[in-house]
Amino acid sequence: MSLSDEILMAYVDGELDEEKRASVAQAVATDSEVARRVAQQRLLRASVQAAFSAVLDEPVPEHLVRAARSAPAGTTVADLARKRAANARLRRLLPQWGAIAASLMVGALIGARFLGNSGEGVLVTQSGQLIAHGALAHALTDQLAGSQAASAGVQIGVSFRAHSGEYCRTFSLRRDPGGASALAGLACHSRGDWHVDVLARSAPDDAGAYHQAGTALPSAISQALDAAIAGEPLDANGERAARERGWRP
Amino acid sequence: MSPQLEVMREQIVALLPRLRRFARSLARDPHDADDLVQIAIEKALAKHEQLHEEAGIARWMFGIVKNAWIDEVRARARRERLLTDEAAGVTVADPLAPAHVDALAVADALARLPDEQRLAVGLVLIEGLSYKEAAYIMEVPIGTLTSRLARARTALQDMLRGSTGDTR
Repeated sequence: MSLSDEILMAYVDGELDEEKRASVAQAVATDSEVARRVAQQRLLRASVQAAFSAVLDEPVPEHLVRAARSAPAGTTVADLARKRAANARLRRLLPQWGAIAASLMVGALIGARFLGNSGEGVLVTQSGQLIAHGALAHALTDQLAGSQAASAGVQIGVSFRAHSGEYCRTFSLRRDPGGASALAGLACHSRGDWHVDVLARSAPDDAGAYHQAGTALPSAISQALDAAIAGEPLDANGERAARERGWRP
Repeated sequence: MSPQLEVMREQIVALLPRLRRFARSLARDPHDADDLVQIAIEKALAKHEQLHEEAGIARWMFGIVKNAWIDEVRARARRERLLTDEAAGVTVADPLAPAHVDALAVADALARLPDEQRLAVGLVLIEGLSYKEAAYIMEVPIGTLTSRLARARTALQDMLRGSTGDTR
């Protein structure tokens, strides 16, 4: 009796009816070549299964549990297509934002005003786009929200993955202690640079201290964040992992 | 919030380990895989009224993960036509235990299969679903599923033999 590979696979997968199953079992018992082919199929199935079984033992990331327990239900919210459209709208607005930002605050002045007098600017324009530079670029690349010094000139807020696949982070630039205003922004990583997509003035709270979380973000920034974010913000581990990957998607 | 919805949320939480494993069999990168699960959760909850009792939540969720993955594969193909991916091809080799190498070889081989074959392997060999359930999730006739599965197995067998030099 010649048995096709497909029959032997179905046998290994437990998909044959009783009559066929019995006849294959019979062949396995009497024909060493059939027995060898069945053993090979079993081994493949077991190896493939074993290669992924460790995933079941991994702790489930907290953000997934949170999403299952509290992501909005119903058809009026969390509509990804709508979010994507909002994101596209945001991107169309960006050159405009960049122009506003550039006209408000020019080059090195920003560095001098917001980061002491190191003399190095934190924003440069490059073919019409605002790019993080100097201390801001370094902070965006290296600083983790969980372990940054409260006195750091740049405070990183929320890090997340955008619908575009890029990693983005919100940040605040600190002015001198007790300063009347500061800058907050949203930067996304692409091809080695941090594009500052949105920049806005933020008022420090009464104590002049800095909020790290999204709550203190100017509405322009939090709206941009809502439109761009895919899923949940990165937790501390996600942030560290993204940094290790060089913020590459 | 309806008690039914609360039950559903907890059922999804209970399914998370399997959804992550299934997503990992589709998207090689663990972060990408978890992103798929996250998108699937959001989509499932957004359209939770569409779940029919008889379909079963596991099958429903696997189907949503599958669709999210297909969307992502298509979007990626579009992006890659537009720009070259600098990160592509950069892999960092870790010192690996033999069992780990074996698992990696399997994952590598799986990643090289055509998408629809990988899906069949993920559902039947990794998740242990029946042909009927897998075909339902893939939205294809059972005959199509079994022939994809057979081609996938033959290809995996060849690749794994080649990668280890082991003829078994």
